[in-house]
Amino acid sequence: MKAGIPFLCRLLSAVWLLWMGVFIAPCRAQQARPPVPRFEVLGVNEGLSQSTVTALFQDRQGFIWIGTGDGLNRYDGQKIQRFWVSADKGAPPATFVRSTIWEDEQGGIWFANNKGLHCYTSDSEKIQTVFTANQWAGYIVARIAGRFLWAWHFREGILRYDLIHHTSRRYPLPNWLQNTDSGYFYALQESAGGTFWTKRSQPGNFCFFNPRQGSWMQGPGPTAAAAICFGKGRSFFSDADGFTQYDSSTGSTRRVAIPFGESSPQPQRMIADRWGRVWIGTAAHGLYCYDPNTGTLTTYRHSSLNPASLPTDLTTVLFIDRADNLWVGTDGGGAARLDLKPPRFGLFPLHESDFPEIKTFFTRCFYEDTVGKLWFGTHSNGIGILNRQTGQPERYIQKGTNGSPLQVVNAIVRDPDGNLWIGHSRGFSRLNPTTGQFTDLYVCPEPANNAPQSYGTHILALRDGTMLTASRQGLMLFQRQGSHWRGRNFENHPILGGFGSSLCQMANGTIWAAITGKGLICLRRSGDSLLEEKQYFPNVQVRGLHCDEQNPDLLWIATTSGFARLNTRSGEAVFKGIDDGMSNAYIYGLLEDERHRLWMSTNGGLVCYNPKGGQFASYTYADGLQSNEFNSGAFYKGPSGTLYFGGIHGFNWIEKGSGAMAGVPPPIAMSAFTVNGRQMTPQQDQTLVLPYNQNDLAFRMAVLDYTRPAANKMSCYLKGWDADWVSYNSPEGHYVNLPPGKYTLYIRGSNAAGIWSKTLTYPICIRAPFWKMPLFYVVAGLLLLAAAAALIYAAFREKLLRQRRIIAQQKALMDERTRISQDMHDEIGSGLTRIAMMTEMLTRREGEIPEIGSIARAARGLVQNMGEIVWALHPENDRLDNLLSYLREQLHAFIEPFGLDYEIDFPENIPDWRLSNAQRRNLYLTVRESVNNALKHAGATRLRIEARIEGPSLCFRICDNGRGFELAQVRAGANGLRNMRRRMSDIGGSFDLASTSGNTCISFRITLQNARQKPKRFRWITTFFTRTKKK
Amino acid sequence: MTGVAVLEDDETIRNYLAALIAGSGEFDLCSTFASAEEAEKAFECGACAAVELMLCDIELPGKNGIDFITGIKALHPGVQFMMLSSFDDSERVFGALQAGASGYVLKNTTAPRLIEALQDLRRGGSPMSSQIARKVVESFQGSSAYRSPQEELSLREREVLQSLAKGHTYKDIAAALFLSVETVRTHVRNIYEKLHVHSRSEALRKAGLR
Repeated sequence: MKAGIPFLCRLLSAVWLLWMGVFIAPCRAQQARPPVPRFEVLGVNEGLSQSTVTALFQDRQGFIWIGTGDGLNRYDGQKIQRFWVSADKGAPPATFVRSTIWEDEQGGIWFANNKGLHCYTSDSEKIQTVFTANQWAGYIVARIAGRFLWAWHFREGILRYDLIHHTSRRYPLPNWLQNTDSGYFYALQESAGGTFWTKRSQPGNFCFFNPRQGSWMQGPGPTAAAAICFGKGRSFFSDADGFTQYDSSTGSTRRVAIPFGESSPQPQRMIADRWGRVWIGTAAHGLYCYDPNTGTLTTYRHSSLNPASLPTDLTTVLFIDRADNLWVGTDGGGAARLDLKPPRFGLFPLHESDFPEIKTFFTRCFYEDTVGKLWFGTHSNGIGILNRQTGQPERYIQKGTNGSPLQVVNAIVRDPDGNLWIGHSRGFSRLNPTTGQFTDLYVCPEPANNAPQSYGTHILALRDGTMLTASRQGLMLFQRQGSHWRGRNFENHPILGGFGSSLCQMANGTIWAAITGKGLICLRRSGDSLLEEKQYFPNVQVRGLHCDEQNPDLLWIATTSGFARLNTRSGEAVFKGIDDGMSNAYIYGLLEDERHRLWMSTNGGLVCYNPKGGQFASYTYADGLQSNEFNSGAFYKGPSGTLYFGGIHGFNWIEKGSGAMAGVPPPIAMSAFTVNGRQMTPQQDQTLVLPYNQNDLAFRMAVLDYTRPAANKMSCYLKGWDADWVSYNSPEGHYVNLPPGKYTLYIRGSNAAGIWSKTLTYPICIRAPFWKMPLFYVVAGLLLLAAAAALIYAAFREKLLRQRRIIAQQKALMDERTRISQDMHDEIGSGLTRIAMMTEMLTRREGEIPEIGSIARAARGLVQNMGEIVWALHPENDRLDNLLSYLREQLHAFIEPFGLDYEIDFPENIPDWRLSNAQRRNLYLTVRESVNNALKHAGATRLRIEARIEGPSLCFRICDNGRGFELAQVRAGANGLRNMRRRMSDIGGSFDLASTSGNTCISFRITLQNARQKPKRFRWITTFFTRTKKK
Repeated sequence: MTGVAVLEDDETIRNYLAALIAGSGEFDLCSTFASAEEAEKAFECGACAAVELMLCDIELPGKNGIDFITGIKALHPGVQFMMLSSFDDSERVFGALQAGASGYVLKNTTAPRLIEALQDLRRGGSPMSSQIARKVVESFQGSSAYRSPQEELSLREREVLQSLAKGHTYKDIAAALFLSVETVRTHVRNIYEKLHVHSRSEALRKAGLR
């Protein structure tokens, strides 16, 4: 665009404002520092499917998709997964990714090539051909967003296709576009506001299409621009010789020329970053970066000397991810990644190869002057002077006094006059910065042994205006004498003559010097001299000293095995080292930043220590340091507050105020999830239910921040299994043989800046097999109990039934007997009654006849006997009290007619004993017989029938006062005595007879209640069973 | 002269009893019956209005003695019934007592004893044997909570009953309880009455009519 068409410029800017709706963000207060030019390469050796990258994209979740000449790749920071289109039978697969990659509403990833339009879905983990090329012949797909697909046809116009509803809408080309004969859309680009820019010819006019309104508008032209890029309030049009920048707020244009070379094609892609810089990728000339704020153009090219350079100069596509990393797709080198974020540390040199004449960047000391220049002492190039603004060295001072070579410079310190004192390999010199004139102050003698050590090592400007230096020859104190300085030597001093390695002066005036082999010496100025006051830590190798800025009594000491804080007033020292969490404890230098944190340079990078919390943060080469190794004495805090640390490949500085950078939490995703080796996609907050044998979980998570993926930390926590969060070194987690139960898997991660992502939650439930469920146990237990109970029941029942059967048999027997008796008694009884009655009648008619009387008496007697037998057989009468009542009754009736004095003495309380048939019959009959004897044969007048309960036995005593038995009768067993004895023995009782004249007693007893008792324990069981039986 | 009737199916025994009663001098034989139906008919006709005591056999053809007593006692409560039993069969005798009989006598007792038994009956009921007394005690024990005063035994009656159950004679009881034999006899009579009432009530209660 020619600069001489103001009207069109204004129109253009108005149009841009109107169509683009550019959001003009407030410019950054400080301009962005250039990124550290170290590229990380992701090529075929790192797992990429092919080295020609044609498309780059970051999806919603955060994964990076890389389209190559052979397949689509997905990168999660750790691993590359490769996908190819599923091949149709016979047809060769279409693997070339020829377009931009798009993502639709459901997360499907689309790309196009000459075979058609393909889509990758995470459900299937495969790429499917959704539309073949034939369906979309002649169309170029411009964008897929949401559910719409926009395709452009050079004749038909624009088609908007709805992927879900499968409807389409056409926007025909306006007339003024139809007539062009070129069938191509050049520089098709979507602006930030959503309008499409394109040209029908090259060179030609731009035109814009607004998809929201479906309208076309013609733009200014003709232009030679072949590519457009939109940045912050600016747009860039590139052409063969460079590009033109338009500022939409001012309407101004600027032309920047880039010598691409005659034979080079025009730049392929342009992209603007967050800080307004525009990056241009050329087809064969590498990468360019133009910063419109400074107007600087930086080139990035491949260099075989620099392994961190671009892999190749043939760039194809550019992409900036959401963490502000620039991805450069190349042709033959894979994808290279550059961190665009302002580096935390200033670095010099950015590329050592930038200064081929300088052989080494070994830095030994610093001095920042008042005009913004940084003076640094090197190992073999004298003094370098760096322009802080540009980051480029202005010059090197390599000649010292009288042109002698200045090689090793160990110290640069300003004296009260404003001159610079230089400590170098030959001693100390004074330099006038304005004139550049050197004056020697002191020249060290040659070393005895050919030690390649540096000699003048440290210089300290004391508060009282004197200067203290340290060298291999010991300390020297310089005092002003007119315009000269006179030095006082301490060479022969036992302590002060030693090799000083660090000097500092505290607020109270004491001077501290670290002397090799002697430790830390506290000195004081006294008159012309120095007085040594105290010696500390003679065995510690002190490398650096720093006076605490807050507490004037504290001195920080850097040693080769950690650092210490010494309270100079109390003498108390606290040491910290590897055991306290430092990554490397060989400390060279110590500096304090504006937040009173301690920065230390070590053999393992820089360490930042926060005394308040005691935490350490480590930074290494990958964070933008010159290398991991720093140097003694190369630490300096500038007047502006910048901290400088020097190392073996250069030096770094930390600007004041560039503390922790706020950042956004990185995205985190589950890269892969397998159950028993089978891929699954668990959904967040949706319980994944698995059977008991699917209990082998393996997963890979990824923190999708690509600034420094190696520093991403990943942590997972399986609630229900792990006790707490587990941090892995690898992003893969594996849980085997999980027992059934409810689990929740939490994953989270942090990026290189230490910012943690949000936590993802995946609830998992492993179903117990039915035989492990508690319900099963309960049921099984119950079943077992029931079975056991049934068995016991059956056993008992058997026993009971057997017993019952026996009892029933016995009872049946008894009943039979009773019935027989009963029948007999009925029959016989009635017959006998009749006989008795007959005899009565006969007696009445014929008078008393003794024989008839006998018959009657005999018959009655028999009926009486039968009555007794029936009584004895009746089961109701089996109780003892029944027997005694019946006995009493019968005895009354029996004895009464005889008219003698008698007494029946039975106990009042009769125990509830049961008697068997035999027992009661025999007892009854025995009593009867005894009484009979007494009444009929003894001739007694007094009779006593006594019954007693003695323990478990029943005793009867029948006593009378009759004649008694004669011995002969007793022996012979006459008069029923034999019967009585037999009866008692039949029922297991005893029988006794005591007879004297006048007192005869028959006694007999029987033990009725014996100890044989059924165990009461199980009576309840039998009762239970009998009761159930009765039902 | 007390009117007595005899219900006995055995002819020989019937004749014997009839002769005995007629010749006693105190008792007047009203009629003899061979079956319960005959007796019932006679009672209906009013031919037995003068009967005060009745001797019944238990085992009868057709209706048995117990049922007969149940029916007649309700209509003629003044008639006292004495059971004729072959022997001391407490079951059947008790059943008859519950039905309304006031005593029993063994068929094979001597003639004087028979007359005595009738006299006993006239006076207040036959002496209870211990077995019968037991049964009476049981009957009174195991019944429902509701009892009308007519069926409730008094303390004295209960004492007498317990003693009878133990086999004591009236003399013993009188001596032990400081009563006269007549008082004891009266108590026994009351017990019989209450037994009748109680049994009837029990039967009704069981049928759900009380």
